[in-house]
Amino acid sequence: MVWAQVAIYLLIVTCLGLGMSYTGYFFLAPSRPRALKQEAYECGVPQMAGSRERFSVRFYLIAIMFILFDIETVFLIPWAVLYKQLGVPGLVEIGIFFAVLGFGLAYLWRRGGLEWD
Amino acid sequence: MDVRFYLSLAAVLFVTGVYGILTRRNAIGIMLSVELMANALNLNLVAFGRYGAGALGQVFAMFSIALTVTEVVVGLGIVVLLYRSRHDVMVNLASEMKR
Amino acid sequence: MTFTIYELAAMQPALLVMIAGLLAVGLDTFVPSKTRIAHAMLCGGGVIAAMAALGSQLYYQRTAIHAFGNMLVLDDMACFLSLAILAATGLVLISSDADTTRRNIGFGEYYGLIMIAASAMMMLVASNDFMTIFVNLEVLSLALYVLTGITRKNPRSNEASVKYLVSGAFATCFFLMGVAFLYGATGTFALSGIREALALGLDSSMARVGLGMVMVGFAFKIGAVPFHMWVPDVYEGAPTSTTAFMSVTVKAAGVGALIRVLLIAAPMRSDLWADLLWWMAVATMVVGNLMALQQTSVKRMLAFSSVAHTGYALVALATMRSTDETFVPEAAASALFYLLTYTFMTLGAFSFLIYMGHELPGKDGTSEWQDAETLSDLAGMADRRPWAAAMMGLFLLSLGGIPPTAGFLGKFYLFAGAIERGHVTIAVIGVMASLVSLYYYLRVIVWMYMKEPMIADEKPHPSVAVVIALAGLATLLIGVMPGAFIAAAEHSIAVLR
Repeated sequence: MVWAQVAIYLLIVTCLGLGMSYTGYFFLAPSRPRALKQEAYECGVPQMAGSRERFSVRFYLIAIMFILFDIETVFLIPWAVLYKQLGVPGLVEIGIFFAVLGFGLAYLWRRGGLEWD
Repeated sequence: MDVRFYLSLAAVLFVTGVYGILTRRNAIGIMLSVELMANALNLNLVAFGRYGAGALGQVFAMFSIALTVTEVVVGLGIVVLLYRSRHDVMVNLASEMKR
Repeated sequence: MTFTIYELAAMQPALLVMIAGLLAVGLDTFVPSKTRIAHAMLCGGGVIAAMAALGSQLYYQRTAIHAFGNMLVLDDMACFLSLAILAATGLVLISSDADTTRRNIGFGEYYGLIMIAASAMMMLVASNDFMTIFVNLEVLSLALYVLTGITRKNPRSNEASVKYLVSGAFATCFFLMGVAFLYGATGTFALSGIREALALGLDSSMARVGLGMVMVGFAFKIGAVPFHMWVPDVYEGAPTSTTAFMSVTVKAAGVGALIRVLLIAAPMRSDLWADLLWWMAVATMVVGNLMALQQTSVKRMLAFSSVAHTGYALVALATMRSTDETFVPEAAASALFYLLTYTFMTLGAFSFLIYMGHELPGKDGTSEWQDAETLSDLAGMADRRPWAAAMMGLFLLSLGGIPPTAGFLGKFYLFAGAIERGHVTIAVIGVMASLVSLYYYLRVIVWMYMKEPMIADEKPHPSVAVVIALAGLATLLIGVMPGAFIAAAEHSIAVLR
């Protein structure tokens, strides 16, 4: 019945840990709340605004494009791993892939998809 | 490890995704659910490939990842358009056409 | 795995279309002076070049080209359906001239997306492996999601696009899950490999579930009941030329790919899928026609009627397994022929709605284009536009299955074949359903010929008239001399085995 021993051990450890932390929290620690202490930790600098405001839709567009070009490189990794075996035909194929992808980027650029305003 | 563990996890993910699509009304939430379903089937493909069927499953999973992401990207683009035209992304409110 | 240049010939027609589409997008983006003529010549040239390539394949090459490890195969069935898709694409390119100028849609994007979708469909009907089927199904769906929502300021178009995307993504996931299960059961994605695995007597529940989910995915894409809920909203919200394009080509490509999957991957397990398809075909015919009866919008009525026509095409697939348990793959030929007839009559009917477009005064002084949609938009048009109305009458009679049109022969060939194989019930249901459909098709004709006009300012677009004339000619031609077309469809299926 090794599992029963483990279970009892876990129970004791959990009770001990919780007991110690709550004893410290309720009886030992000094409690002097201030407004500053209630704020979310923002790397040590004062907060500028709440975190639940709406983001501009432009962030979405940039994020969407990033994801798109990011994920398309999934085809690069197998090619890079097998670079030597694939040789020139592989280079040509990945070149075609990149040409189409680059065409997409050029289209995006030309149409003003990368402009902020 | 048994292939059944992966299949069970994939089944749970897939059903979660289906449930999400059927109950969510927020277009972004629906996209998230679609991604859950897509990840479930990618997991299935990779697991089948790893346990017996060969490397082709992983290859298919890569195509599937790339194309489902493209689908979600197009979807988010359309949702942005929807937001611009009605300042909301709730799909059930989008009922310009009669039932 | 390397490939030879010779193998590229298998995707040459689709590549020509794809390159023309990409060039159209590039031309629109990078060349400052945008002329419509350049786009039209580019895309039209791409379509004609692809048709010529297919023609040379059919008449000089003759043997099927298996390429890329048998992932793509350019056989006679692929050529037949590709030619139908290309014909529809060409007609839509002409008629979308009206939509793009009226609604101020960028030519490059619109034509480019149509060409990309067409090229993906051509590769889809040539796909012999679930990997290529998936990639092409996805590429064509993505292009169509964007085409549906391309009128960016129009809330109806946005809504249609979101609905199409959500249901399409759902369907894709089901399809892929089915593919994953089939892969788990058989260890391959190749259709012929799956056939071999199933022939070894493999009968796992995983393969059954996989095949079922793949069929659910296809049913979503072609809009078969009970997976048709997106069809009316999407078809109504999309620009009418897009609706015309997707209502005909997606069905041709989707049913073509389904035929290939059923005939190559699972022919000896027709007990698994025949009953499923039987119920799906019956439900699709009945629901499509009954819903179409209740519509007042002609565009929405045509959307439901396209659901019903999917059901007719599915009858051929559902009755491939005859009642005395023999498997008759030749039955699929009637589905191919039906898809061909359906292409021209539906395209013509939707083009008539574009032709009869009129301007609506918008909110802030601007005017907005509105294609003819309701019955009242078409009322009394027989007096003012006698030729176009006559053509519309021809398309509607053909959709309803009245001789001597193409639609009659398509249905006759379909239901006669079903009875020959012992499936009397489904044939009777089909004939009854098309009798019901006559009511709502004839109602449009009655409004056109017997009512007083209600709108006075319709502005017909000349290029759409060309489309209507060509589609009408094709509908009559197939109706009067169907022999060559039926022979081509039968040959396509015979080669497939």
